[in-house]
Amino acid sequence: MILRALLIVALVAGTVAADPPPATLVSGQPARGAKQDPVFKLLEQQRLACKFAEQKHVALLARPLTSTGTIVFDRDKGIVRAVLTPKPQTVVLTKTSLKIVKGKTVEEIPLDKSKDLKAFAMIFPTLLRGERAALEKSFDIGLYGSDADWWALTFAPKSDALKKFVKTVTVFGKKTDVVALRIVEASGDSTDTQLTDVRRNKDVPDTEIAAAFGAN
Amino acid sequence: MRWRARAATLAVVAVTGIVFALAAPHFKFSTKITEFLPDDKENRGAQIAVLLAESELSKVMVIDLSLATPSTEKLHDTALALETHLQAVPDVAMARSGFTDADLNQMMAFLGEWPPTTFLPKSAFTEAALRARLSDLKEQLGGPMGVMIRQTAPRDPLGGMWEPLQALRSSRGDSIIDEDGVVYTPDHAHAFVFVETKSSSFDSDAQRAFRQVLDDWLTANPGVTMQTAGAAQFAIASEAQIKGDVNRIGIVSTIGILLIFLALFGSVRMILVGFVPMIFGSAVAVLACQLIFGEIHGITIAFGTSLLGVGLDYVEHYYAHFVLTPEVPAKTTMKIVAPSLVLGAFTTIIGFIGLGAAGLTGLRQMAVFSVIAIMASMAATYWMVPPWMPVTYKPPRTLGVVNRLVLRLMVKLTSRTWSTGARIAVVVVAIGMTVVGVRVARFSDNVNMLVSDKGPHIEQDTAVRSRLGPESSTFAVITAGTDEALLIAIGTATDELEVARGKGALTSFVPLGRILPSATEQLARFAAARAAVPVTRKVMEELEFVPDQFADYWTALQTTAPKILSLGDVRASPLAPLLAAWVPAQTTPIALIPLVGVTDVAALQTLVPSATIVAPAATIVDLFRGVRIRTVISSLLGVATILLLLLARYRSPRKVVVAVAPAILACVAAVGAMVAMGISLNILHVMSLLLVVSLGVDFGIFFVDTTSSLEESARTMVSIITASITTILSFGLLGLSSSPGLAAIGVTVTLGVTFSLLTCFLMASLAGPKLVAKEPE
Repeated sequence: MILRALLIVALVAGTVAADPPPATLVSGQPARGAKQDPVFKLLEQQRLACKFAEQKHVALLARPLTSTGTIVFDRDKGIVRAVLTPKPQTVVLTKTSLKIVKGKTVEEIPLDKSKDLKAFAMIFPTLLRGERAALEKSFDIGLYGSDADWWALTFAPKSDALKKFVKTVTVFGKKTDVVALRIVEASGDSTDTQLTDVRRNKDVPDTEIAAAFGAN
Repeated sequence: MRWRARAATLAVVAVTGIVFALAAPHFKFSTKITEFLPDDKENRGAQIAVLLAESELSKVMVIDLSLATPSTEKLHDTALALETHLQAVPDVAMARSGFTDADLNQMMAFLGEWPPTTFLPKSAFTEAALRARLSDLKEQLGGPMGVMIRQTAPRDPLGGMWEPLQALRSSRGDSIIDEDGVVYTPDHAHAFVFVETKSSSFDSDAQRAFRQVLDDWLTANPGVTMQTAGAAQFAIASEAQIKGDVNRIGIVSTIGILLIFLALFGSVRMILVGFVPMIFGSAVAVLACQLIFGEIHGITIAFGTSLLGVGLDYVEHYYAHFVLTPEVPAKTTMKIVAPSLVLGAFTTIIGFIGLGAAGLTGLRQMAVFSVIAIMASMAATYWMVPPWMPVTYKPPRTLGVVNRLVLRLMVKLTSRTWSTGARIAVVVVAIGMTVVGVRVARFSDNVNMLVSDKGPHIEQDTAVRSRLGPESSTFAVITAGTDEALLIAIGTATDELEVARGKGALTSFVPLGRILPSATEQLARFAAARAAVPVTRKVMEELEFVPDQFADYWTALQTTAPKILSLGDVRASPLAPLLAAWVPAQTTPIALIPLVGVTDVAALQTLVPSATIVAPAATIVDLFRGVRIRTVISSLLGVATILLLLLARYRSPRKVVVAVAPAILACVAAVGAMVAMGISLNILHVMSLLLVVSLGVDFGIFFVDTTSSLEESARTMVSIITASITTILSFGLLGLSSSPGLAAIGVTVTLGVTFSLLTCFLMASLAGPKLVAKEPE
């Protein structure tokens, strides 16, 4: 049930990306451990806000599902993903729960049920906190490229429970910017998310944070 | 000869004592409330009440844990540690908190074993419904749930296997949350562990032992606060209360009776001998009840303790005559008073037979106990006491003084004749009092009034239950001849309840029909799904699905004999712990659907004709109203039988009237006094009035049988006074019990005995000089 948190990660990431990451970026031997620290360090944020555009390729469907919306991150509060099209929906992810608001319907799913799934749902917020050690508890992390140019961080689940659902999560970036995110599910379905109009820290006012998180 | 009689007495007492001592370790005591519910097999309400009282709903103890220093993580670990600890306790049948991922995976695996149509209503296969469900699927695939839904969608595109989980979730409400195998309050301040013991919740010995397990665990876990809710703590508290009362009453009344005996009869031997019949009677009654019923109810023990005072009455009557006529041999005195004693005992037994016919196991046990105790006491008084009477005996002055005072009073009372007008006035007043008393009397059949509603166990129970959220005070009860018929009826009732909820007749209910479809319904659903294959494919294409990706679904629909889910399958499945309370495994298939927010049971019943809507509290009140009425009728029949018996014995209506007047008038006056005190009469008051009748008739018989001289009448009045005092000593203290049920017995009998005594004097006064006149044979 907590797996409904899974896709939240897929819907969160990115900066202004004038061009896509090179096709050969994720190849060869990835860097591991402390070598990843420069990327994690530049990713660390207090606040972040951006727009997103997503394409989900599902084998059951003849065409990909597309959606657009906004993402707001606050280091202390969590992350909010608001889908604006095709149907409005807001998902609020905190350290303990995932809340889905659809019209007047509110559904709250606790994340404490499974440490693995919680770790998965929290990939992006944890990434923006720069907490590599926390992520390494649940994922094998690989770094391709470097913070000097294009880079990609790949997350492969360690536990069998997660492997049943997810194959890899990849976060793409260029220098200091997170550009895109890709999730490949165990079924072969994939989700690509592009992030645009990224604003960081002081550029994200308190009012925007308050509006996004509401009473949460 | 005397030593032979004594040896025989000793032998009987010794054998009884040995048997009692050997049997005592095997005695089983109970405080089951169900013993006081009617066991009428024809009474559906009674069956349901018993079922509810014994269902899982009442068996489970809820353990509420909180920490001095709040920490969700520590509370989580603490709850799981307790759960593990309890699972290792031999008497624990089940201990769990929430559901883990592993539990959910097992449930999902079980639900996936059945055709994808099993849990889908037939209405899901219309084009509009298919479009709605498939649109939902598309939306879900793109949402946070997508990864999960993607796993099951190829086989179950319409979401059938999610239906039971959604139904179960909706039944839980928002008051508690389930995280990582632990159930919490939403603020994570309290965690809950649910536990069921193999022993009955009403087995106070076992529950006390289990309570010790909890206490030991708590001691080993400082900083943890534990509160509990459940029937077990009521059983323990009730037993402690009854035991406390019985000990207090037993000790104080024994001391009081000893002092009275010492003051009036002045012989330690007579005191010791005097207690033999009642102890013997009680021992025999306890053994008999254990043998007949397999256990003894706490109320029976409490009532039996009080009955000791009645057993003593026979001895007192005999002693009064023996002491005041010491020149007559003990054996001869017994022969003189024996007819009265036997008749008195016989009338009492008749009264208690009426009690046994009231239709409650608990009352039946009390009746059996009383009848056997009285018969044994009577027999012991007749055979065991006389051989032990002192041959040379100098009575103390006290009894002589009392006797002289009573004689003087009797002389005064019988010195003048009441005018006819005055007699008529007395009769009119008595009848008037009876009519007014009956009309003004208020009755309460709320069984909860019989047990104390105060104490830490009540406060804890209330606090814990309030944290668990709104409780169902009403149930839709469905019974049927077979499991399949039951499932069909559940489906119908679920539909009716859904309509009723739409009309505001209730706020929520457990939609059992969504979880447990009947075989007939499952086949109909399967057929509907098969018939809808073309339209399903069409709608899928319109919504941009790739129908061939749902091969598992199409394949599942191709079989001609779909696998059918039965109640037995569910009971053996991972869903069983969730459903056991609602579909208990009974000989007669039955389902209990908890309802929340019912304001008008009758209105809901109209909307849900396929189930019986039951509010257990109200049902029990109704049942006890019936029991009370039956008890009153049984008692009246008992009184009528006593009248006939007395008529056969005395062949004089006047003597019969005098013999029964103390009983009848005492009952009327006792009811009047209680009405004046604002007491609502309950089943135990009614029952106690039966005891008053028995005691009063004893007094009347003793009085009528000893009118050969005013001196003899005075001696009888002395015995009645001492009997009244010893009875009041017992029952008066019972009236001080913190248990409303015991207090009801105490107050009623105390008032009744007091009025019986006064009525005896009134009868003497009404008889006037004719009291000692010879009756024509």
